[in-house]
Amino acid sequence: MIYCPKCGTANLEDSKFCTQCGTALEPETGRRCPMCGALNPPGNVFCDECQARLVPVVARPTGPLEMPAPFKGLSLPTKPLEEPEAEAPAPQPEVPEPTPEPEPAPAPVERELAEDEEPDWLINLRAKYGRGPVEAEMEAEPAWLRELHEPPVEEAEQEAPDWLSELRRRAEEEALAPEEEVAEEEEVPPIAGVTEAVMEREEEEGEEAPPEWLRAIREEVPPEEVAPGVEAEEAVAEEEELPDWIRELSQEAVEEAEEEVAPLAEEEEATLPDWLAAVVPPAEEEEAVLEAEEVSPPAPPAPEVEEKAEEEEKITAEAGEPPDWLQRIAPPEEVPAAEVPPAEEAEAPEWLRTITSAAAEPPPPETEREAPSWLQEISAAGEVPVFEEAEPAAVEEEEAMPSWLQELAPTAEEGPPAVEELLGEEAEEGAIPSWLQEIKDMEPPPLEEPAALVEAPAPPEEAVEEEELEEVPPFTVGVEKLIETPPVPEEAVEAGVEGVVEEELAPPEVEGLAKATIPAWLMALRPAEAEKEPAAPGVEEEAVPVAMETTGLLAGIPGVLPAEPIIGVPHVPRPPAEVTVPGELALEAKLLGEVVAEQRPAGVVLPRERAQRLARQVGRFLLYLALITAVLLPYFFSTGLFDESVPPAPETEDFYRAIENLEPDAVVLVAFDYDPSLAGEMNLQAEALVHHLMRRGLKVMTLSMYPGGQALAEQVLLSAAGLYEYQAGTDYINLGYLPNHPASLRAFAGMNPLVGFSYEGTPVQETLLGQRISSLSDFALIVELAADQQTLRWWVEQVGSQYPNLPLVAGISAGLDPYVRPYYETPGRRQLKGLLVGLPGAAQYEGLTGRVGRALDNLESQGLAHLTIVAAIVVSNVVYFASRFRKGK
Amino acid sequence: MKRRFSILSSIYVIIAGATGIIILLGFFFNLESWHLQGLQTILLDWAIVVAAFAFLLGAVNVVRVNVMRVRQRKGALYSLVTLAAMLLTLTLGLLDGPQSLALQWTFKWVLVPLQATLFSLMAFFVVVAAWRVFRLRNLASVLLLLVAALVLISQVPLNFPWAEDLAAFKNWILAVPAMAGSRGIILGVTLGIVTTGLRLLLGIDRPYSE
Repeated sequence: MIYCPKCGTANLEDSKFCTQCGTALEPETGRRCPMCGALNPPGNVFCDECQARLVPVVARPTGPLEMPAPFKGLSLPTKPLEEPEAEAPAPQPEVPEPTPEPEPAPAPVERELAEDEEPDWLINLRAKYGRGPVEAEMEAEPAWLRELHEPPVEEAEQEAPDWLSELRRRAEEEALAPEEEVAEEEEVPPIAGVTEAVMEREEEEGEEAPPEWLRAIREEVPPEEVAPGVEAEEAVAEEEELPDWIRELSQEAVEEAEEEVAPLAEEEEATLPDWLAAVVPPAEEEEAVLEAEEVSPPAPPAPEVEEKAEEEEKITAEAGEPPDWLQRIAPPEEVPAAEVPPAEEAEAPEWLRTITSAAAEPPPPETEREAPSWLQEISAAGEVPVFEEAEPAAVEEEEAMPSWLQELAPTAEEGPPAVEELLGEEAEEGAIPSWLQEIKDMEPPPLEEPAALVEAPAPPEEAVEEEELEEVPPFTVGVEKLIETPPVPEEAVEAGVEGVVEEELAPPEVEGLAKATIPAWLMALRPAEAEKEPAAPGVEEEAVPVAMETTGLLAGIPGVLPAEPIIGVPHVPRPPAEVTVPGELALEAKLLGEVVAEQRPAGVVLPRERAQRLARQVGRFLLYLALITAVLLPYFFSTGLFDESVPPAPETEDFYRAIENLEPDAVVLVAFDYDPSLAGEMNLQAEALVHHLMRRGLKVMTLSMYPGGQALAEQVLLSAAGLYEYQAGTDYINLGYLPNHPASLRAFAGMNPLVGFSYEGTPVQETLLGQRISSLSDFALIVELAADQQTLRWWVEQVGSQYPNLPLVAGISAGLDPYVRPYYETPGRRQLKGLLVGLPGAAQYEGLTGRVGRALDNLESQGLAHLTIVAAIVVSNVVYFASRFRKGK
Repeated sequence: MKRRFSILSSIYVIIAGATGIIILLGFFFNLESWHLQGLQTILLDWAIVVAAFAFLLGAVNVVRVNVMRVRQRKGALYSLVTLAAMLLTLTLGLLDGPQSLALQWTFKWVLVPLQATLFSLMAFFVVVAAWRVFRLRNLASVLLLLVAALVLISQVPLNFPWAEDLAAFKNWILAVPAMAGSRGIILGVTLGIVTTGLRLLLGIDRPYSE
């Protein structure tokens, strides 16, 4: 058979895929580990690499391949919903026994549930609220039994069902084959055995059948079959094995029982509920009852009361004097183990025989070996007598105990070491497995468990003798810590143990540390919410309505999915915490806010701002006045600051010589490439140039790549033509506008002959001067009057390159000097033969031509303006440094 | 960016490249011998017409923008004055040509003074800027201030004994440091023009088709 690694279905040997889930099956050559993927030999039950279980724990199916479809995604332990068959055989795990390799920790085994099963937690919830499909069935059970089945929801969701089922399973197994189990378990290390037992128990309980005791209850076996004598033994045994939370849950039953319990001398009858008391057979019928107990419902309430009484007694013995109410609940007299005949034990149900054996005999070594370690720790804290009673079985126990436990456990002669010694011996801690060490060091678990311990009724005082405490195994130290700091549940307060618990809860006073005090200013800033009176610790807040399921399996059960309404509630941001500010601070803050919020009325100017604004205006006015004065002053009188001779610059002389070297009657092309904005500077050059050309009798043709330039040229020509009797079309021609584009210059350079119209609208070819020019090579000189670097560059590039022998000179604005000078300073062959730069160049050119024009007059004004600007710079820096010096002081 | 091949774009590239190459060859060879001079002249005339046509587009745009502003009442008065002046100038030019007396008078006594006045205001801006900005905060500002002041003063022939030395200093500034910077700028611009021209000729940049 090949077991499906996914669903556990048993498939035929040759199967390649699972018949239930379709998962590919590994051949028998090896088993692939589902956890780490390692390939293991076919016989391996656990992985060689990661120790994960390779073969799922599957109970023997009732029929061939009739395993019901499992519930996917559920791993909680379950119990069958339907009534199990009474003749169901005892659970016998089909899987091989685990290898003796010890497991570091009992790995949780996920088990898929059959369709006809319901999880424990669901049944418990239904039982808790008395609703649901199993309501009638649960009502048939006594209250104490329901409580026994009703672990808290949180516990049920965690791990409580596992170990609880383990306890039940072990009881059943011992009842069925105690001798075989003991012999078999002697060969298995305790931890591995516990793990396997838990796994097997889950399978048996979930898929095979419920425990017989439960079936008996459900079948409503007449209560007469319950043996009261056995109940006492069962109480002792269960008390040793049941966890704390069970005791907590049964606390209510104990309290209820207190009201009805008779004096402790008649505890068995008195602690029984009415319904059970009625069915308790007399002592003479005990044997008969035991014979019939294979199908009878066990678990009377009396053992529960006794169990809790023992628990509380132990706890109270550790904490101090037991309260009165605990003392009233006297523990039942333990039935000697000898009273239970072995023959009857074999016939008793499994769980009852387990409990009976636990009470009658010293606790078998299997108890410790099979119980999970954490359960052993917890139970050991409250069940110290168990170890004392286990001494007769010390030989078997030592054989079954693992080596590390044998080292820790004291020998029978020496007795167990004291807890304090074990705590202080780090060497022995090293021998403890890590997982156990973590449990020892961990913080107290959720409050219910220790609370249950506190709530549990105190056992008889004789059960907590010093000898028993000495036998506490070392790993129970952590449990003591858990018991030491439980909170005070309301039940415990009501039961009168608040005094004991409050002492334990009181924070220890540390000497030398004074209580911190909050300063007054910090108290003032404390949020108002913090000053509110906190709710009384015992007063619960307003109860939140719990949603109740209306449909499905959880119908009628409130609070099953408590997270849903919380998630559904939209997030509302919390308002900021209120801050209580003292009166003085509040007044100051209010004044500050008013001052900040107050704005200056419109039109209101502060005196200082008015003074600063006035100073700026006055300073600006003085600058403007100085500049205007500097410009206008030379028109009224000479300052004598400038040399009137105006020595010419070299580029000016070259410009002048380029014109002087022309032949008379030569034609000169002058380009007025500037607009009226720069006419104040450029017109001075143009006027001096045109006067010079006309004075020498040269013919002049003008054009412009600026729309306003042609008009400026016309004005300059007209102003000089009358003086030199020049005639338009004969001595000069204004060619007008040439589009401002290099292509137009290139076309003009290639024009042969000149076409178009003059500025006056006369065709160029119809004028005498126009007829003389067939191409640009017919011009003797080209003068570029440029206010823009781009037009000058176009002339150099488009015309100068095509007519390299045609001389080109330029008159430029002073700002273009750095950009144009390279064309003049070209070593070897200059691209510009001469250069006039700004107003100084015009003045120098006038000085060279001997004509007194406007350039010389304007030059002095420009010079004074320059000096004014320099003076402004100097004065501003003086003021700047003076202010810095004053601020530095 | 990878372009898709299309016949139309190829035609654009061919036309632009051929035109550019023909014009470019005129700078290196005598196109008359290749009978390409006429073709070059025609292409350049087309360029002039296209460039002049931009003036017409500009005039239309000015009218459209100002009419829109008048409708939106955004500075409607200024827009109305602009439109009126434009219409008057255009009317005078169309009636009697650019050399008409009225148009010359308008140009001489309106356009030239206004533009010259606006430009001359720059002198006042320069003075105020010199007062408020030229502060000796670090070495660079000191150097800038000294050079600017010396060049300004030396622009005009001062009647001082050290005027010649100051003029020589100004010429050195313009001939060496300033020219070095300007040459670098000119060379950079020229290289950029060459690169742009090559990209246009090779069809890498196609401003005419995108």
